[in-house]
Amino acid sequence: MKENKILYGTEDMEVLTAQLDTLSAITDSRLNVNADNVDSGLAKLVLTLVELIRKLIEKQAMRRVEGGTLTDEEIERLGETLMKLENKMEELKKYFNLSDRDLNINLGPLGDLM
Amino acid sequence: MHKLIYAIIHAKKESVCRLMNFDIGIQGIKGRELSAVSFNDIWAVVSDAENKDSEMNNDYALEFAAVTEELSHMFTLLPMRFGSLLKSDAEILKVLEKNYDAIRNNLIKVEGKSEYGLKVFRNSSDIIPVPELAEVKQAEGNSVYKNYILNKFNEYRADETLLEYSEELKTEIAEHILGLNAVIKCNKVTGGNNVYNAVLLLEKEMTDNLTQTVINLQSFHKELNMMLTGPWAPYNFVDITLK
Repeated sequence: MKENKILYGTEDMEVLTAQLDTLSAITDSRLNVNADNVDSGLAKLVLTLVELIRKLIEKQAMRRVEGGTLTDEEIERLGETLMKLENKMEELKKYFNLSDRDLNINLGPLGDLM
Repeated sequence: MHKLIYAIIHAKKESVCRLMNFDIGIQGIKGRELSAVSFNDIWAVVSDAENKDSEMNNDYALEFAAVTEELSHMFTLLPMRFGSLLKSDAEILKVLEKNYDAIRNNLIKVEGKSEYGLKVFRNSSDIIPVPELAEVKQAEGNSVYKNYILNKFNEYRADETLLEYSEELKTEIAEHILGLNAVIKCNKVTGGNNVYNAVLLLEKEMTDNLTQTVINLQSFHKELNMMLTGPWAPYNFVDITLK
Protein backbone atom coordinates (compact mmCIF):
# COMPACT_ATOMS: atom_id res chain seq x y z
CA MET A 1 0.00 0.00 0.00
CA LYS A 2 1.42 3.35 -0.95
CA GLU A 3 -0.37 5.46 1.66
CA ASN A 4 -0.76 5.19 5.38
CA LYS A 5 -3.99 3.35 6.00
CA ILE A 6 -4.22 3.98 9.72
CA LEU A 7 -6.58 6.94 10.06
CA TYR A 8 -6.59 6.77 13.80
CA GLY A 9 -5.07 4.23 16.07
CA THR A 10 -2.95 2.82 18.70
CA GLU A 11 0.80 3.13 18.71
CA ASP A 12 0.96 -0.04 20.73
CA MET A 13 3.17 -2.30 18.65
CA GLU A 14 1.92 -5.37 20.49
CA VAL A 15 -1.57 -4.74 19.21
CA LEU A 16 -0.38 -4.32 15.65
CA THR A 17 1.84 -7.39 15.85
CA ALA A 18 -1.09 -9.43 17.14
CA GLN A 19 -3.08 -8.32 14.12
CA LEU A 20 -0.29 -9.39 11.78
CA ASP A 21 -0.25 -12.77 13.50
CA THR A 22 -3.97 -13.02 12.86
CA LEU A 23 -3.45 -12.29 9.18
CA SER A 24 -0.82 -14.97 8.78
CA ALA A 25 -3.07 -17.35 10.70
CA ILE A 26 -5.78 -16.71 8.11
CA THR A 27 -3.53 -17.68 5.21
CA ASP A 28 -2.26 -20.70 7.12
CA SER A 29 -5.73 -21.81 8.03
CA ARG A 30 -7.00 -22.44 4.53
CA LEU A 31 -7.38 -26.10 3.78
CA ASN A 32 -4.77 -27.19 1.31
CA VAL A 33 -5.25 -30.80 0.34
CA ASN A 34 -3.45 -32.18 -2.69
CA ALA A 35 -1.98 -35.48 -3.88
CA ASP A 36 1.26 -34.91 -1.94
CA ASN A 37 -0.23 -34.12 1.45
CA VAL A 38 -3.50 -36.00 1.41
CA ASP A 39 -2.81 -37.75 4.76
CA SER A 40 -2.01 -34.66 6.79
CA GLY A 41 -4.61 -32.57 4.94
CA LEU A 42 -7.31 -35.09 5.70
CA ALA A 43 -6.17 -35.46 9.31
CA LYS A 44 -6.36 -31.69 9.70
CA LEU A 45 -9.89 -31.62 8.32
CA VAL A 46 -11.13 -34.54 10.45
CA LEU A 47 -9.49 -33.28 13.64
CA THR A 48 -10.88 -29.79 13.05
CA LEU A 49 -14.37 -31.22 12.91
CA VAL A 50 -13.75 -33.39 15.99
CA GLU A 51 -12.41 -30.33 17.84
CA LEU A 52 -15.47 -28.33 16.86
CA ILE A 53 -17.77 -31.05 18.21
CA ARG A 54 -15.65 -31.37 21.38
CA LYS A 55 -15.95 -27.63 22.00
CA LEU A 56 -19.70 -27.72 21.44
CA ILE A 57 -20.02 -30.58 23.94
CA GLU A 58 -17.87 -28.65 26.41
CA LYS A 59 -20.00 -25.52 26.02
CA GLN A 60 -23.17 -27.51 26.51
CA ALA A 61 -21.67 -29.05 29.64
CA MET A 62 -20.79 -25.61 31.01
CA ARG A 63 -24.37 -24.50 30.49
CA ARG A 64 -25.50 -27.45 32.58
CA VAL A 65 -22.99 -26.58 35.30
CA GLU A 66 -24.25 -23.00 35.19
CA GLY A 67 -27.82 -24.24 35.53
CA GLY A 68 -26.81 -25.68 38.91
CA THR A 69 -28.75 -28.89 38.46
CA LEU A 70 -25.81 -31.29 38.42
CA THR A 71 -24.92 -33.31 41.49
CA ASP A 72 -21.31 -33.60 42.70
CA GLU A 73 -21.16 -37.09 41.27
CA GLU A 74 -22.35 -35.89 37.86
CA ILE A 75 -19.79 -33.07 37.88
CA GLU A 76 -17.08 -35.63 38.62
CA ARG A 77 -18.16 -37.84 35.72
CA LEU A 78 -18.46 -34.88 33.38
CA GLY A 79 -14.99 -33.67 34.38
CA GLU A 80 -13.49 -37.09 33.80
CA THR A 81 -15.09 -37.41 30.34
CA LEU A 82 -14.14 -33.93 29.16
CA MET A 83 -10.61 -34.20 30.50
CA LYS A 84 -10.02 -37.55 28.79
CA LEU A 85 -11.48 -36.17 25.57
CA GLU A 86 -9.15 -33.17 25.69
CA ASN A 87 -6.13 -35.37 26.47
CA LYS A 88 -6.98 -37.65 23.55
CA MET A 89 -7.20 -34.65 21.23
CA GLU A 90 -3.77 -33.50 22.43
CA GLU A 91 -2.35 -36.96 21.63
CA LEU A 92 -3.85 -36.90 18.14
CA LYS A 93 -2.59 -33.37 17.46
CA LYS A 94 0.89 -34.44 18.50
CA TYR A 95 0.71 -37.57 16.37
CA PHE A 96 -0.25 -35.59 13.25
CA ASN A 97 2.04 -32.69 14.15
CA LEU A 98 -0.80 -30.16 14.32
CA SER A 99 -1.12 -27.11 16.55
CA ASP A 100 -4.25 -25.43 17.95
CA ARG A 101 -3.94 -22.83 15.21
CA ASP A 102 -4.04 -25.58 12.57
CA LEU A 103 -7.35 -26.83 13.91
CA ASN A 104 -9.40 -24.00 12.56
CA ILE A 105 -10.59 -23.39 9.07
CA ASN A 106 -10.98 -20.00 7.52
CA LEU A 107 -14.33 -19.92 5.79
CA GLY A 108 -13.64 -16.77 3.80
CA PRO A 109 -16.41 -14.21 4.24
CA LEU A 110 -17.92 -16.25 7.09
CA GLY A 111 -14.75 -15.92 9.17
CA ASP A 112 -13.08 -18.69 11.13
CA LEU A 113 -14.90 -21.89 11.93
CA MET A 114 -14.05 -21.54 15.64
CA MET B 1 -1.56 -18.04 -20.45
CA HIS B 2 -4.58 -17.05 -18.33
CA LYS B 3 -6.19 -13.74 -17.47
CA LEU B 4 -6.05 -12.46 -13.89
CA ILE B 5 -8.98 -10.21 -12.95
CA TYR B 6 -8.23 -7.40 -10.49
CA ALA B 7 -11.55 -5.63 -10.29
CA ILE B 8 -14.74 -4.87 -12.11
CA ILE B 9 -15.26 -1.18 -12.59
CA HIS B 10 -18.03 1.07 -13.73
CA ALA B 11 -16.70 3.76 -16.02
CA LYS B 12 -17.23 5.78 -19.12
CA LYS B 13 -15.28 4.61 -22.12
CA GLU B 14 -12.81 7.52 -22.12
CA SER B 15 -11.61 6.83 -18.56
CA VAL B 16 -10.92 3.21 -19.36
CA CYS B 17 -9.15 4.19 -22.57
CA ARG B 18 -6.81 6.23 -20.40
CA LEU B 19 -6.26 3.19 -18.24
CA MET B 20 -5.50 1.03 -21.23
CA ASN B 21 -3.10 3.63 -22.63
CA PHE B 22 -1.23 3.63 -19.30
CA ASP B 23 -1.66 7.38 -18.81
CA ILE B 24 -2.23 6.60 -15.15
CA GLY B 25 0.85 4.46 -14.70
CA ILE B 26 -0.67 1.38 -13.09
CA GLN B 27 0.83 -2.01 -13.78
CA GLY B 28 -0.36 -5.44 -12.82
CA ILE B 29 1.54 -7.98 -10.74
CA LYS B 30 5.07 -8.72 -11.98
CA GLY B 31 4.91 -5.41 -13.90
CA ARG B 32 2.48 -6.85 -16.43
CA GLU B 33 0.35 -4.61 -18.60
CA LEU B 34 -3.23 -4.01 -17.60
CA SER B 35 -6.04 -4.23 -20.09
CA ALA B 36 -9.81 -4.10 -19.85
CA VAL B 37 -12.65 -6.29 -21.10
CA SER B 38 -15.98 -4.52 -21.33
CA PHE B 39 -19.66 -5.27 -21.49
CA ASN B 40 -21.88 -2.19 -21.69
CA ASP B 41 -20.65 0.18 -19.00
CA ILE B 42 -18.81 -2.37 -16.85
CA TRP B 43 -15.19 -3.32 -17.33
CA ALA B 44 -13.04 -6.10 -15.97
CA VAL B 45 -9.47 -4.93 -15.41
CA VAL B 46 -7.12 -7.79 -16.21
CA SER B 47 -3.55 -8.76 -16.95
CA ASP B 48 -1.96 -11.89 -18.30
CA ALA B 49 -1.04 -14.50 -15.72
CA GLU B 50 0.53 -17.91 -15.48
CA ASN B 51 -1.43 -20.73 -13.91
CA LYS B 52 -2.78 -20.49 -10.41
CA ASP B 53 -0.07 -22.40 -8.53
CA SER B 54 2.95 -20.51 -9.83
CA GLU B 55 1.74 -16.96 -9.19
CA MET B 56 -1.06 -16.99 -6.69
CA ASN B 57 1.09 -16.85 -3.59
CA ASN B 58 1.52 -14.41 -0.72
CA ASP B 59 4.33 -12.55 -2.50
CA TYR B 60 2.01 -11.25 -5.16
CA ALA B 61 -1.03 -10.69 -2.96
CA LEU B 62 0.21 -7.26 -1.87
CA GLU B 63 0.97 -6.23 -5.45
CA PHE B 64 -2.51 -7.35 -6.39
CA ALA B 65 -4.07 -5.34 -3.55
CA ALA B 66 -2.03 -2.27 -4.56
CA VAL B 67 -3.50 -2.41 -8.07
CA THR B 68 -7.03 -2.62 -6.64
CA GLU B 69 -6.26 0.30 -4.39
CA GLU B 70 -4.94 2.50 -7.20
CA LEU B 71 -7.99 1.71 -9.28
CA SER B 72 -10.31 2.49 -6.38
CA HIS B 73 -9.03 6.08 -6.36
CA MET B 74 -10.26 6.51 -9.93
CA PHE B 75 -13.29 4.29 -10.34
CA THR B 76 -16.20 2.79 -8.49
CA LEU B 77 -15.17 -0.84 -8.38
CA LEU B 78 -15.87 -4.30 -7.13
CA PRO B 79 -12.58 -5.85 -6.00
CA MET B 80 -12.00 -9.43 -7.10
CA ARG B 81 -10.59 -12.12 -4.86
CA PHE B 82 -6.85 -12.63 -5.39
CA GLY B 83 -6.43 -15.58 -7.74
CA SER B 84 -9.50 -14.94 -9.91
CA LEU B 85 -8.25 -16.43 -13.16
CA LEU B 86 -10.09 -17.11 -16.37
CA LYS B 87 -8.76 -18.61 -19.57
CA SER B 88 -9.40 -15.80 -22.03
CA ASP B 89 -10.96 -12.38 -22.66
CA ALA B 90 -13.89 -14.16 -24.30
CA GLU B 91 -14.56 -16.11 -21.13
CA ILE B 92 -14.43 -12.91 -19.08
CA LEU B 93 -16.86 -11.27 -21.45
CA LYS B 94 -19.28 -14.16 -20.95
CA VAL B 95 -19.06 -13.73 -17.17
CA LEU B 96 -19.71 -9.98 -17.40
CA GLU B 97 -22.67 -10.53 -19.67
CA LYS B 98 -24.20 -13.30 -17.58
CA ASN B 99 -23.80 -11.40 -14.31
CA TYR B 100 -24.42 -7.89 -15.59
CA ASP B 101 -27.46 -7.10 -13.42
CA ALA B 102 -25.89 -8.37 -10.20
CA ILE B 103 -22.63 -6.52 -10.94
CA ARG B 104 -24.45 -3.27 -11.71
CA ASN B 105 -26.55 -3.52 -8.55
CA ASN B 106 -23.43 -4.01 -6.46
CA LEU B 107 -21.66 -1.15 -8.18
CA ILE B 108 -24.60 1.15 -7.46
CA LYS B 109 -24.50 0.07 -3.81
CA VAL B 110 -20.84 1.06 -3.39
CA GLU B 111 -20.76 4.08 -5.70
CA GLY B 112 -18.88 7.01 -4.14
CA LYS B 113 -18.24 5.00 -0.99
CA SER B 114 -15.23 3.43 0.69
CA GLU B 115 -14.72 0.73 3.23
CA TYR B 116 -13.15 1.38 6.62
CA GLY B 117 -12.04 -1.04 9.31
CA LEU B 118 -12.61 -0.40 12.98
CA LYS B 119 -11.01 -2.62 15.58
CA VAL B 120 -11.12 -2.12 19.33
CA PHE B 121 -8.77 -3.72 21.84
CA ARG B 122 -8.72 -3.84 25.60
CA ASN B 123 -5.61 -2.32 27.19
CA SER B 124 -5.51 -5.23 29.54
CA SER B 125 -7.43 -8.44 29.98
CA ASP B 126 -8.37 -7.31 33.52
CA ILE B 127 -10.72 -4.49 32.59
CA ILE B 128 -13.72 -6.75 32.31
CA PRO B 129 -14.38 -8.38 35.67
CA VAL B 130 -15.11 -12.07 35.59
CA PRO B 131 -17.85 -13.04 38.02
CA GLU B 132 -16.78 -15.10 40.97
CA LEU B 133 -18.00 -18.64 41.22
CA ALA B 134 -20.47 -18.35 44.05
CA GLU B 135 -21.47 -21.92 44.67
CA VAL B 136 -18.55 -24.11 43.76
CA LYS B 137 -15.09 -22.84 44.51
CA GLN B 138 -11.83 -24.64 44.04
CA ALA B 139 -10.77 -26.35 47.20
CA GLU B 140 -7.96 -28.66 48.16
CA GLY B 141 -10.40 -31.47 48.75
CA ASN B 142 -11.70 -31.38 45.20
CA SER B 143 -10.81 -34.17 42.84
CA VAL B 144 -8.76 -33.48 39.72
CA TYR B 145 -11.91 -33.90 37.61
CA LYS B 146 -13.92 -31.42 39.62
CA ASN B 147 -11.11 -28.86 39.47
CA TYR B 148 -10.91 -29.42 35.73
CA ILE B 149 -14.60 -28.59 35.39
CA LEU B 150 -14.23 -25.53 37.61
CA ASN B 151 -11.35 -24.21 35.52
CA LYS B 152 -13.33 -24.76 32.35
CA PHE B 153 -16.34 -23.08 33.93
CA ASN B 154 -14.22 -20.03 34.80
CA GLU B 155 -13.01 -19.81 31.20
CA TYR B 156 -16.60 -20.17 30.00
CA ARG B 157 -17.82 -17.36 32.28
CA ALA B 158 -14.94 -15.13 31.19
CA ASP B 159 -15.83 -15.75 27.52
CA GLU B 160 -19.51 -15.06 28.15
CA THR B 161 -18.72 -11.84 30.03
CA LEU B 162 -16.45 -10.70 27.21
CA LEU B 163 -19.19 -11.48 24.72
CA GLU B 164 -21.72 -9.38 26.67
CA TYR B 165 -19.21 -6.53 26.85
CA SER B 166 -18.61 -6.74 23.09
CA GLU B 167 -22.36 -6.64 22.41
CA GLU B 168 -22.78 -3.50 24.54
CA LEU B 169 -19.85 -1.90 22.75
CA LYS B 170 -21.39 -2.77 19.38
CA THR B 171 -24.58 -0.95 20.34
CA GLU B 172 -22.70 2.08 21.63
CA ILE B 173 -20.52 2.36 18.51
CA ALA B 174 -23.53 1.90 16.23
CA GLU B 175 -25.32 4.76 18.01
CA HIS B 176 -22.34 7.07 17.47
CA ILE B 177 -21.88 6.14 13.85
CA LEU B 178 -25.59 6.25 13.02
CA GLY B 179 -25.47 9.89 11.94
CA LEU B 180 -22.82 9.15 9.31
CA ASN B 181 -25.23 7.01 7.34
CA ALA B 182 -22.80 4.11 7.38
CA VAL B 183 -23.44 0.45 6.80
CA ILE B 184 -21.78 -1.53 9.58
CA LYS B 185 -20.82 -5.17 9.31
CA CYS B 186 -19.58 -6.66 12.57
CA ASN B 187 -17.17 -9.56 12.28
CA LYS B 188 -16.03 -12.08 14.81
CA VAL B 189 -13.41 -10.71 17.19
CA THR B 190 -9.95 -11.96 16.36
CA GLY B 191 -9.05 -13.23 19.83
CA GLY B 192 -6.66 -11.88 22.46
CA ASN B 193 -7.71 -8.42 23.60
CA ASN B 194 -9.84 -7.68 20.55
CA VAL B 195 -13.37 -6.76 21.68
CA TYR B 196 -14.81 -5.23 18.52
CA ASN B 197 -14.09 -5.86 14.87
CA ALA B 198 -16.17 -4.27 12.17
CA VAL B 199 -16.06 -2.93 8.65
CA LEU B 200 -18.00 0.14 7.60
CA LEU B 201 -19.15 1.41 4.25
CA LEU B 202 -19.74 5.13 3.91
CA GLU B 203 -19.40 8.09 1.59
CA LYS B 204 -15.76 8.96 0.86
CA GLU B 205 -16.26 12.57 1.94
CA MET B 206 -17.34 11.41 5.41
CA THR B 207 -13.85 10.13 6.23
CA ASP B 208 -12.99 13.05 8.51
CA ASN B 209 -16.33 12.80 10.32
CA LEU B 210 -15.75 9.10 10.91
CA THR B 211 -12.25 9.74 12.23
CA GLN B 212 -13.60 12.41 14.60
CA THR B 213 -16.34 10.06 15.80
CA VAL B 214 -13.74 7.42 16.62
CA ILE B 215 -11.59 9.99 18.43
CA ASN B 216 -14.64 10.98 20.50
CA LEU B 217 -15.41 7.36 21.31
CA GLN B 218 -11.81 6.81 22.33
CA SER B 219 -12.00 9.74 24.72
CA PHE B 220 -14.95 8.06 26.52
CA HIS B 221 -13.07 4.78 26.78
CA LYS B 222 -9.57 5.21 28.13
CA GLU B 223 -9.49 1.50 28.87
CA LEU B 224 -9.70 0.69 25.15
CA ASN B 225 -7.50 1.17 22.11
CA MET B 226 -9.31 1.96 18.88
CA MET B 227 -7.84 1.53 15.44
CA LEU B 228 -9.49 2.93 12.35
CA THR B 229 -8.11 2.02 8.93
CA GLY B 230 -9.04 2.94 5.41
CA PRO B 231 -10.20 3.99 2.96
CA TRP B 232 -10.26 0.55 1.33
CA ALA B 233 -11.96 -0.80 -1.73
CA PRO B 234 -15.31 -2.31 -0.64
CA TYR B 235 -13.97 -5.84 -0.11
CA ASN B 236 -16.60 -6.78 2.46
CA PHE B 237 -19.63 -5.21 0.83
CA VAL B 238 -19.78 -7.05 -2.45
CA ASP B 239 -22.61 -9.51 -2.38
CA ILE B 240 -22.26 -11.47 -5.57
CA THR B 241 -21.37 -14.96 -6.70
CA LEU B 242 -20.25 -14.86 -10.31
CA LYS B 243 -21.81 -17.58 -12.44
